[in-house]
Amino acid sequence: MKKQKLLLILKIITTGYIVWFLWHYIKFIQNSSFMTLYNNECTFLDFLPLSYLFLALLAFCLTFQILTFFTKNRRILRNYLMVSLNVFILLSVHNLLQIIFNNKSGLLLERSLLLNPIIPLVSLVLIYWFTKGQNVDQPVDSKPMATPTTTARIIFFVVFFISILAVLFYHSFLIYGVFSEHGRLISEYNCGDYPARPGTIPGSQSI
Amino acid sequence: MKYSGLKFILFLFILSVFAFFQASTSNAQILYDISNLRNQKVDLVWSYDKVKIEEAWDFLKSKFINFNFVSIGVVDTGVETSHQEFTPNVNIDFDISIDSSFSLLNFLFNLPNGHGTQVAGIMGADNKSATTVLASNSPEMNGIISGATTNYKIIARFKGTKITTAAIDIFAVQEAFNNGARIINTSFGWTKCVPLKNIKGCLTNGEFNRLSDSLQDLRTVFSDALFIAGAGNDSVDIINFIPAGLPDPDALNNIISVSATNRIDERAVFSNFGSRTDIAAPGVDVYAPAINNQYDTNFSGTSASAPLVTGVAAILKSMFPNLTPAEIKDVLTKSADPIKTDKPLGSGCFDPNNNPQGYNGCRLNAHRAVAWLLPPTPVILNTPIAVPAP
Repeated sequence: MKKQKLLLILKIITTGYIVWFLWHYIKFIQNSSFMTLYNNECTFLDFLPLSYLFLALLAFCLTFQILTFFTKNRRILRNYLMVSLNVFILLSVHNLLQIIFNNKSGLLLERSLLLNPIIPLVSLVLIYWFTKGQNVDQPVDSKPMATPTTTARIIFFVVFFISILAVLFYHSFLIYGVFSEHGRLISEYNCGDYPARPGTIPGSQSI
Repeated sequence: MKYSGLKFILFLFILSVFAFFQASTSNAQILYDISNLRNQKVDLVWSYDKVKIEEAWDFLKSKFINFNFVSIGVVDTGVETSHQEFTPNVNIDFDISIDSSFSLLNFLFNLPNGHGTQVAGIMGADNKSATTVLASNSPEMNGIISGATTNYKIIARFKGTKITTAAIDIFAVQEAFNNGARIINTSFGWTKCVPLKNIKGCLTNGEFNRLSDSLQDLRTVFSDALFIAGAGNDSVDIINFIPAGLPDPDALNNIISVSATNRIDERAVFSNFGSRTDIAAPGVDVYAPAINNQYDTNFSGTSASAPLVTGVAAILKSMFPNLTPAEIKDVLTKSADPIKTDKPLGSGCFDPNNNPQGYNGCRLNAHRAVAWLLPPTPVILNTPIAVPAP
């Protein structure tokens, strides 16, 4: 019962987060044209001081929701949670160390730029690796929703699907300088009193 | 073991004498030697000769100038910090060491390789010859400023790419400025789409105008900084290229647009031109450091011209820290050599109203530039500007 309660709480939290994220996202899209972001107020970015972590959280919540929809196997869910937690801890520590010891925002920018798409991909590999060696024939307290092979496949494809979505999502925004750490820091610059904004004009060419 | 304490004290004493010697000579006149480059089969130093940089170094050495610390911004593709011409944290401060063929980011985003290394090297490569005797066939070079002083640092910041937005370029400039750079080299830009010209990655009129407004605002925010901008390589009028072609408001004279010339002081075929060009500098086959600890003998483009001017501007700033961007620009353009080219490449070095020789360009003259503010003030073709207190 305790575990079921925990699962329920997690479900509520993740649903809440997804709703919160989508609400701000829709509000943002309504208020400003996607193509002319920097000509409008950067309100959404102001809500996301650490945007890549928010994105990673979204990927985590969506994957969790889909997993709980497809399977009741707690071992799989537990593995997923543990792996996600580890990835988040690693990420946070990594970024914290970067901030403390490097104090070079440029370096931090580039690292986070790389890590964004890597987060779901790392999760994918780790989850598959953790899950494949385990005896999922014997779930802890309930009958499995699918045969072991099918379960493994479902997990693999669900996470893979989420990863691809996250990567596409990330890159589509990266191009426009939104959601990335670049976008956040630039928004600090662009959302001030600075009168003209470069908008979505592409970056310069070396001459 | 008996004398270990004594030995240690002796060691400390020698160390402190050495440190004192180093400290006392940090502002002393430094030596340079580029005979190793002159020994090569190809003429590697034609650009040095053209802008008379050796004469400038010799002149400064003879004047025993006290050089102040100067930070030079290089907003470009990053630098290869493992290159022998750079000593990280000594002569270069960087945000990311991206400019390398081994970089994952280069692989992922197909970034231009080596551009930032070349640009940063031309202006501020280490002067190894000041401390060591170079082999006669050694490829090592001097940056424009390092032949005069070691009291400088290059602040290299990574600019945006074609897949990011212009905001990232602007952010990089801001970062360089925030880290103390007041002389900032911008060997990049955007070209407006021009009819009948197939210019890759050009901007529409709307985009161009919007970005021009942005960059004008930017130079107002950073009015303390002098921007040295390459004029662009599309062989069009510079009014179609920003930031170099931005109009100069009277109150804000802080961009020097640099076009490229060749060995015989003609306009390089690719170089942009026009009445908004301020100065020209060698920009064909310029010798520069390249990635993988190599050297490039044929770096061409206005990107190669700009750092030559930036280096001299930094020397001026180091000599007279109180000079405003407009004053440095004034010195550089007025002290330049008048040249005859097919298209206008600056007019500050001659009187356009009295020009029987038919000059229509000004090519950098480092020697005259550094001598301009030192007595006796040379009177060339224009009235010299007021001499500020050193």
